[in-house]
Amino acid sequence: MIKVIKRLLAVVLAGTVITAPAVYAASTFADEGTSDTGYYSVTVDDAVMKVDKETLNLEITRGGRTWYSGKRAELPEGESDGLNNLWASKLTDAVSVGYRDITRGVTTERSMTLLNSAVTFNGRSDGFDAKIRLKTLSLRFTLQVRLSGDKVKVTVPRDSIEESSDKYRLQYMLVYPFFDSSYSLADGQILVPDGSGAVIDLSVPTPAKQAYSARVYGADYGISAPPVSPTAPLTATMPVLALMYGDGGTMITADSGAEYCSVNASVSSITTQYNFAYFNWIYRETYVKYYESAGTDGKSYIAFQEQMNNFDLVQTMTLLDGGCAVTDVAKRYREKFNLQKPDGNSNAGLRLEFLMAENKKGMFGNETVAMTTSKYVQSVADEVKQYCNNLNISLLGYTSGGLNGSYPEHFSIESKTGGKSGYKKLSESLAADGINLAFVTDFVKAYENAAVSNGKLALNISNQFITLNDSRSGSSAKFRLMNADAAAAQLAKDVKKVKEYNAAVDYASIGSILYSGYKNSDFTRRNAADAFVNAVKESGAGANIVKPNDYMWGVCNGYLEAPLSSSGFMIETESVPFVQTVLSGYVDMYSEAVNLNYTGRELVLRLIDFNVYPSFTLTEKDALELYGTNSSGIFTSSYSIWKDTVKEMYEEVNGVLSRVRGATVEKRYSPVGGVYVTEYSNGVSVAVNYGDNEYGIGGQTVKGKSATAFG
Amino acid sequence: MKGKINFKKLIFIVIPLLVATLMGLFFADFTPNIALADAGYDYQSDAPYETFTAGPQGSIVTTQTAYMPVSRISLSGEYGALNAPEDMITDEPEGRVYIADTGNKRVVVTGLDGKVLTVIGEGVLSQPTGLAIGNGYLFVCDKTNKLVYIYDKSTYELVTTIDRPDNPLVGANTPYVPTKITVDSRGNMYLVSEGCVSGLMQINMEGEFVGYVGANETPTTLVSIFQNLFFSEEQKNTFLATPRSPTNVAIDSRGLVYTVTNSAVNDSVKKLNTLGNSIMSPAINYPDTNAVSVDKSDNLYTVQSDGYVAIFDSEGNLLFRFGGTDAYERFGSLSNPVAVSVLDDGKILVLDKNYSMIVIFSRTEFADLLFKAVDFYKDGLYLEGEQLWNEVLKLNSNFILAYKALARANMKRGDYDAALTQFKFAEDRSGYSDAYWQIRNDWLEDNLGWVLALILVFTAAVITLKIIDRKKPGALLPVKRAVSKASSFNVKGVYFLNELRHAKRFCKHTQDAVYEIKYHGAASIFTAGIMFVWFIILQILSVVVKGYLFNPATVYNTDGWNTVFITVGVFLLLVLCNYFVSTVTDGEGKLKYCFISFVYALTPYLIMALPLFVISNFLTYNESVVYYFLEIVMYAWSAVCVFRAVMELHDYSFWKTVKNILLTLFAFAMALLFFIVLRMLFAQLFGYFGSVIGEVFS
Repeated sequence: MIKVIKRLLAVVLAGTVITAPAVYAASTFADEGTSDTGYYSVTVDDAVMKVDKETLNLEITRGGRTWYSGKRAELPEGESDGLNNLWASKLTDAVSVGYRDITRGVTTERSMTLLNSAVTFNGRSDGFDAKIRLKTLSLRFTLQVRLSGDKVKVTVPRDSIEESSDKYRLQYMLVYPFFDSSYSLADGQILVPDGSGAVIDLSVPTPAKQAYSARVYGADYGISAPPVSPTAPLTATMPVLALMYGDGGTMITADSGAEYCSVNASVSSITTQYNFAYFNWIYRETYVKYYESAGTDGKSYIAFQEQMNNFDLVQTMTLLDGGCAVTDVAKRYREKFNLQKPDGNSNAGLRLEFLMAENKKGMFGNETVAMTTSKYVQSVADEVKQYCNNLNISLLGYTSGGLNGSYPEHFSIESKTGGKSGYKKLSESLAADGINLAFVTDFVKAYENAAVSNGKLALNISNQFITLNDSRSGSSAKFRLMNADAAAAQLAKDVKKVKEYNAAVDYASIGSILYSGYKNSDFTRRNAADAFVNAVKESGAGANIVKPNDYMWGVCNGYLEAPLSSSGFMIETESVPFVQTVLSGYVDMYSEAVNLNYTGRELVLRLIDFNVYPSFTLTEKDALELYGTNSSGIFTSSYSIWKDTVKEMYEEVNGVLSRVRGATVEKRYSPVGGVYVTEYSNGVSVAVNYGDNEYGIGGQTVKGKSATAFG
Repeated sequence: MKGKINFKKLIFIVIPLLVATLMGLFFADFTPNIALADAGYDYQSDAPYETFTAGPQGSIVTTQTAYMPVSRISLSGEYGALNAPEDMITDEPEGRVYIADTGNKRVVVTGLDGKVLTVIGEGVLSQPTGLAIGNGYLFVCDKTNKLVYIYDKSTYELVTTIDRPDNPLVGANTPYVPTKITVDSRGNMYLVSEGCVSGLMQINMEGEFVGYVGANETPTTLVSIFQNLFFSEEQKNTFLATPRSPTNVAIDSRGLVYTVTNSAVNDSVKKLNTLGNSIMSPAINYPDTNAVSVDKSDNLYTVQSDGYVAIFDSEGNLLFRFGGTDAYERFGSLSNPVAVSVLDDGKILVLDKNYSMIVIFSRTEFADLLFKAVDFYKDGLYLEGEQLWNEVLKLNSNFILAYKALARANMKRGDYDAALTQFKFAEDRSGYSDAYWQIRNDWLEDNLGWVLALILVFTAAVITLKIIDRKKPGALLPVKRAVSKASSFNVKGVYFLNELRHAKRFCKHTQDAVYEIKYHGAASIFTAGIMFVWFIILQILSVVVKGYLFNPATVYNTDGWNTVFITVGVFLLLVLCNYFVSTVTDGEGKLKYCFISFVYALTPYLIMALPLFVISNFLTYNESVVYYFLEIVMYAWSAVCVFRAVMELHDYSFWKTVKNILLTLFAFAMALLFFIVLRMLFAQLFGYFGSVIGEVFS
């Protein structure tokens, strides 16, 4: 009898132990214990969206085409697409997450169903809300999907994310990573925002072993500092991707939280046989933490960001119908911005940047080498204005001591190059001639040895100053990044002085570097972007910005150092002028220094093809004087050497591009290999022939290695 | 008539219109456009690398992009991808590329467009690592099978194989592992046999061994000299370093053979003359070079394990260096280039073993320009190439070779002033010396009369004064009085001029002079201090005043304060060390006298240095013996003065003085070591306190 009671007790006890967690879970998440199943269908305007309530997989039909968020390839019976369980569920599920086991320091990626997901589905007339609970991770969040016209907007509000595990932390999230993907070799392309833009042709096998992946707006130097070098890949300055097929496609954009995502694209034979493009939304990152704050002994460990990045994830898939091309995507992407038309000047621009002075190591301390005087700049302007009436003159290294060693100080004019009175006279004279004058500045960088209070400098998450190498070739200078508010304050102060010279500002770095600050200078990438945009906007001076990220475009009068190609990753098939197509007709774009990147006819043709105006970095003295300085990368710059090229190149570029200034790009195509034709909104087309043989189009003959405008 | 149709006029309008329309249709059908542009052109991105060239002061500087990556050959589809290929050659007249697809045990033949034409050696080859073509045959080295396979180039049929040569010169212990090969116009093979330290094996078409060529030398080190002296033959075989064996080979249009020795720091690429000696000058010192190829102008194209392509002219001057490995897998970057080939239009094909791909680079306009200029330079047509070199300089002001070429053009023209400036930019001191010799010669020819007249007048004046002094003793009395008055000038008892004059005595009668310093106060700290300041100034002047031909330093590569600090520090430390060593070795000298005597011992240097610096500006390398002789006299005299001063100062015998000086030098070395350790400790201490303060206030 006792034995029986004992056995009964044991059974009850065991049953209690086994069922208790389930009972607890059921009581805690009574409304989320099990997933809804079946499909939900909603029709908005002419689009029908069908949702799998369990995986939240989408099928959207519009205008005769169906967009799948993760369809398996239709293969002959018995054949497999080779996906294992992990990839197969990633293809099907709406959400995959990367999570870190903080006890073991390991990051793992799994899709929602493999993490024991429970979905509470709430259908709406324009989409649905899904409360998702990943039981394995004790993680909850809400996925909101809204269908409106040709847009599918997916939101994960930051407030909805709740973590209750002591072991696991959310690191990143992928939302519909296989949306509109294709299988194996396909008739289509993927557009990636690499440099000027690049397309990946899906119809040919790739020799690449690496997928495309780039952090939007570049690395966060507040967290990690990848090496800065003149040959580093170009930054993804826009949070946009596009899948383009013969019968339609999808443009994917990040409408909120772009500062915290990376753009990714992979094609068949790399990882899977699928071609897909997606955003990776980063909530936390690993970073190097030094044991002692100075970090001089190099002893460190890999730490994990404690607080989640604070952003609402908003990813929009724009459904493109018909044969969509890069131009179509660019036109749709342009709708995001409130761009202003440029001034009424009907000529192409020309930018001449003069290096005024540089700092050279002498026998007893540094000496200033005056490379150009204000009088000389005036004489060049007098000469160039004879053939160019859209001339922009920029002054670099005008501060006392020359270019190096000056930042963050911007307004102590070097006397050897003309002094205050010389610059004043120059500015007045240029203004009278309608020539634009600008001072080249960098408000986010302070030279490592510059006298600047520590309070103005940003600290990274490891409590150290953010130190970067000068990316210019031949330079050994090091910079520290200013904290966002200090940079904005310095900008506000100095631009007042710029205005005294009736000049504009050429901003280096402020539009292309985005970083967060910690400890005393606590600010996020979003804060920094807002601070920089507002500071430039409120300064009231004309702003030309070097390689601006897209959030700066609204306050940008001139886009400097415009990329004329992509980074050339092996996965990419061709560079395309995506940025230029978005901005043509609104923002004038200027090249990097032509004289330092001179590849002859190829360069001239590319400028015309991409609608980018030429820019030169010049000096009065020979560049040999710069040897041994941090500007030794400027290996040819004397105006007397380059004056003929400046004139010839400008006249050729202006001859074509003046006909399309202020017009937007409508279409760009390649009728035959080596020839590219761009049609503009004013009815004028520009044909560029990179090949050696002549080509006829629109009643015109385009000779080999030349360009022409017609229509 | 109004409103009536005129059919005659209508016919005149309609018929031409019809004709025009038909013609339009005709041409529209058959000539839609004038011509097709280059089909297959693929616009790519910018080069993912910087391009470098030789810059001032032996530096490497950036320059305009010389080569752009334009296309690639990578197999896919029915032939599968290449697998760790190790060699490639091009047969341009036939439009073929041969690839040793080592991992797949075959040789792949493609067109220059990358289209596969055929595959050779499947089932026969085991590890093809080297290829060559010549005499109508394709030669394939197989490392595993230890054979050279010879295929007919037109039928791809195996003709014969070359096994280990049966020749007493090929010793039993000599390895025969053919890895790379090149063939001359007569079909002679030059074979790299892995591990063979005797050089390349030369084998004729009949498979007969002809001899070794191009052996590397064993680097001579201090250790190897001792080993060679004292070791037995057996020990030598065990311990002595053997020469490195060549790792790759190439041949130029004139039949000159080039070897590559991958592990060699110096002479990594050798151009061999008929005797098998290297004739490359300057030497190519690029370790990790994997392969070399030679173009029709004898320019050299090399690839290195670190992903770089380096191009040299026929003399060995660096023209371009570009490429490099890249973590981002960008088109144009290289991971492990193992073979290079150059086409007549200048395109370079580089085989990358890790990417299993051939990357094709095309010259930019800048490179085209430079190679044209180099062709003139190579042939000694300096004036003909002048315009091109000026164009090169426009595109890069730091291009050293351009200055060298322009200088030679100006020398040829007789514009020596311009040549002098350009030789200085080019840092060609030998050329500078030649140009200056011409300038000085011209000047002397123009002014010899004046110079001789001046010398005569000066000599006559001196002789006259001497005669006056001898015949009329009182005539120069006022001058002598003035000198005497100056000598009696003193500041607080220090007779500065007299003390300076004591330096003269120090040079001639050092021991007496030291005695007088010790016991009669013939020199003071003040005067010695002034002289020491002059010594420091001379260190600076040696940079500023010394002639370019004898002066490697410039104001831009010399840290003035550092020079001052080191001069003062080293001198004072030596004085201190000598004083301390002397005190424990029965020396008599006080610290004060040590300092004064050491400074006075430098008198020959203090007097002679500045005139020597000035004279060096007027000398060429032809008269360098004059400069170096005077310099040796200056230093030797000072050294003798130091020795004799130490001897007298401490009252030592000769050998005791030698011992003292050696001990002083040892003490100096120890003190230096002590300061270095101390400095490191303090740096750590300050670093520690710095981080503590940083932690507290952050």
